[in-house]
Amino acid sequence: MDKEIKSIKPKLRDYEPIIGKSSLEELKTLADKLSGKTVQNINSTYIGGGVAEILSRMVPFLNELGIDARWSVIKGDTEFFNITKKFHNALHGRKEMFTEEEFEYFLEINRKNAEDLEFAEHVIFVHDPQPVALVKKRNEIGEKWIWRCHIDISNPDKTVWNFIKKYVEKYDATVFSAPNFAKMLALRMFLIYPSIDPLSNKNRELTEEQINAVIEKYGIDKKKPIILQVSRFDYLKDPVGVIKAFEMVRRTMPCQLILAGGTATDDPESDKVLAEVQEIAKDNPDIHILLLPPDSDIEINALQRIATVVVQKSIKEGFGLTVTEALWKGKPVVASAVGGILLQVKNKLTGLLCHSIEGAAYAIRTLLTNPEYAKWLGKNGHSHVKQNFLITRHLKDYLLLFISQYYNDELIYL
Amino acid sequence: MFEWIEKNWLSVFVPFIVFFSFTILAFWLRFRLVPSYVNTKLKAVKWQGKELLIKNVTIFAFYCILILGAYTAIEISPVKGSVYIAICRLLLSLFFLSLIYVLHRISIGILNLYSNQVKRPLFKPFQRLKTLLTICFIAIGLLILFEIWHFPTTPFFIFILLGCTVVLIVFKDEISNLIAGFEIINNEIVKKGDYIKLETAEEGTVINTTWRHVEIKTFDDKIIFIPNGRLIKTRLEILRKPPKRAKAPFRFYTRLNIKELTGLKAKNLKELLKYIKEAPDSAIFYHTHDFMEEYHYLISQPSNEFALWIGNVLGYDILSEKLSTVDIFEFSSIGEIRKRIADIIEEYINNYPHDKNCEEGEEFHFIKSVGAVMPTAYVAHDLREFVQILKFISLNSLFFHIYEAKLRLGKISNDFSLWLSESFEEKELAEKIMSIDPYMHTIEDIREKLVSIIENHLEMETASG
Repeated sequence: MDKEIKSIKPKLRDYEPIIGKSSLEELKTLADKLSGKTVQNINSTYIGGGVAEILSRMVPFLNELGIDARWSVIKGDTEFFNITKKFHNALHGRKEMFTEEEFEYFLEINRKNAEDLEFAEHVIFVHDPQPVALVKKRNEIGEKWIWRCHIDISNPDKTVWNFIKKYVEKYDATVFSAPNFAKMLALRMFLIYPSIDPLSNKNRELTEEQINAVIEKYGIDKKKPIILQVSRFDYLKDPVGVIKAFEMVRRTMPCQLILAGGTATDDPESDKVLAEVQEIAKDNPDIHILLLPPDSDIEINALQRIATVVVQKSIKEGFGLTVTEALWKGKPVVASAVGGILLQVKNKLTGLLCHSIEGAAYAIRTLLTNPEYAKWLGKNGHSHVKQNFLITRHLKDYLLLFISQYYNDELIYL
Repeated sequence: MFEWIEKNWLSVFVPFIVFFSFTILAFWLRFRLVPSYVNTKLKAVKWQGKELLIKNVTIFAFYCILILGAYTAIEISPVKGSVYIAICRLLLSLFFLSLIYVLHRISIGILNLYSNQVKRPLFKPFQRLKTLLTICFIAIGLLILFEIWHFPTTPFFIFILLGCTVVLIVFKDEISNLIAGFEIINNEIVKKGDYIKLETAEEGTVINTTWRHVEIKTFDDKIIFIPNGRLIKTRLEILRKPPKRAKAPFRFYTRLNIKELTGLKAKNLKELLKYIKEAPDSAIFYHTHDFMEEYHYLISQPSNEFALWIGNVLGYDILSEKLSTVDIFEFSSIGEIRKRIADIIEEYINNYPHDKNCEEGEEFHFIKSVGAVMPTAYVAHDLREFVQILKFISLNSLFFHIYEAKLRLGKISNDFSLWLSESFEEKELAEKIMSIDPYMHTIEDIREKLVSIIENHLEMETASG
């Protein structure tokens, strides 16, 4: 069950040209302070989803820094994962019905996993609600138990939250991705923003050939300014609103729109949204609707790199990593003032915020007519991501999180 | 056989006697005459190479007399024809070989003699010079032998030429370093103890000069070898005077922080005021400095997040403006900042008692930063080392020494000014640095300013000698 990852590329030294030698040295110094400690990450899957993606990078980095970091997943059957899927939706605020048997089954699977898993001696780092009840083992093993909540639980279904809360409160600390995603709890609550990996296929530099291949593949006109939104086809991402904003802009200046994304398999509305968008766009050759398969990282990277303006006109948003990716590529961004976007886009400093279709159209037009301003915003956005939202910052936060478990002071002298 | 000896005994015996006589003469000259006569005659000569020269000339004379004896013996012997010619060639070869051998011994001896008197590190190049001399003597010897024995010399010359070309190509850097090393050492371009700075950014104190390279020690105790060939070509700044040492070295620290929610969440102005009064110092520090750190690349950052939230979320523009003009630089403690901000909000609430709640999800979350303070590997003992480290030290370290030291750690000034003033007695320089308002510049700008101020100071110091 344990999976120890030691040699997945890239290595930490590959990040030196991006973050600098001194920042890398700081990570090493920090990691030295955790020498001899074991850190065990536990979640529900090795593949798929943001948590697995981040752990697949983070665990090798921790090992590279000399920390005995491990990664284990809990085992469960379809029934268990159906229940946890409903938990997930309910914690996001969706109304779901639960039976006593479902809660009991959830606990039963956690109990079994608690018996089967080999726990580390020191830090047990549990991710998301699926393995939350493993904390029952706390009195037997592990020095510090931390629960990392990757989802927004600010407005959860009370029944599920009250059930989960009983276990969360047994941990030494919790971690949330944004202040607004948190629930107030009587234990230490840390804030760790999500991050992007600048060396992943989605964010690394591409060659001219790779970019041109994508342009050719999707028949995009290189000469016209490109407005791009990358997100799954979902009402909450407001693709129709984006098309309307684009139409307003196109009245005065030639440009084209690309809506690129996939559909969510667990969302029946997704296909409907896609159909609606395709219907609206069918008579307009300047609108490209690109339905991308899940492994389209290079295509998304290329599209973001050729875009003139990147839009994220969501009605509701989690952290909004597509915004982070666009900012990293130095693109001027127009985004709704919702969710984690507010942490990334400071209006008129690292991008432009909007609250309506008209506002989005005005902001896009501003950027298209003022390329120098757009460039300045893009440059600031890139610096902002470099400072705050790269995986190396995420790694630093994890190291500090583990260290801070052994101290109560606000300023720890190491 | 006996019959032949009986007939020719004179022609065999006489050459033998002649050679024997020459041999006795050679030994007499070498061990009797020369030591007593020459030493007496050359007593007044003080040259240290005298002994060496006398010894080797004596050896050569010894060989010459033996060879001359052998030649005379052959001449009066009945040996003729091709055997005679071969023996003559052999003797001629022996003569030249002994001449070369003695000349080689003299050359090496003189080199040894003078290398011991040179204080600079000549040892490795000297060994090479000896090898080179030996090779030259062997080559000359071979050429003479070829000439005596009538061997063709063209292939040998071609071989030598090719060999030299290969050596020149393979060791071109070495040769260039050796030549440059000669110039550096003889003209004393750099000396041990000089502080040098190359246009290629390497700098440090010279700890050794050799014929191949100059060794310098950098501020972080690394030893860099700069090949002489490169050093001579590059633009070089040399400071003969060793830099002034600080009473106590400056150890650069860094501070990394993680955000922790305090659990305090304000949805209106009154709640905000209440929590500003209650929140820990680290939260007030965070909300008045976070923007400086997270948006360190922007000039004229908003001074604090309270002002931003009040303006953007509650829409109280006048209050927001008043708060954003609070000059954090004026204060020397978090308590003072807290009081100033609270006073402004309190005054506003008294004047405009109608408060409103923000939208759900837009509350002000009080966050504190939990920091880990760690020493870095970088220590400055003098201003040159200090400015070098300043050029690359992380933003976190700069933030710690400039912002955090003064307010959160309750120091009267930033760490740099304190060090310059206390450990360096450079009060004027310390004041110059203290007068930089860190809240009006990006951290990178501050870095540039610090470097520029200190480098100007060093230049003036150098100019004044």
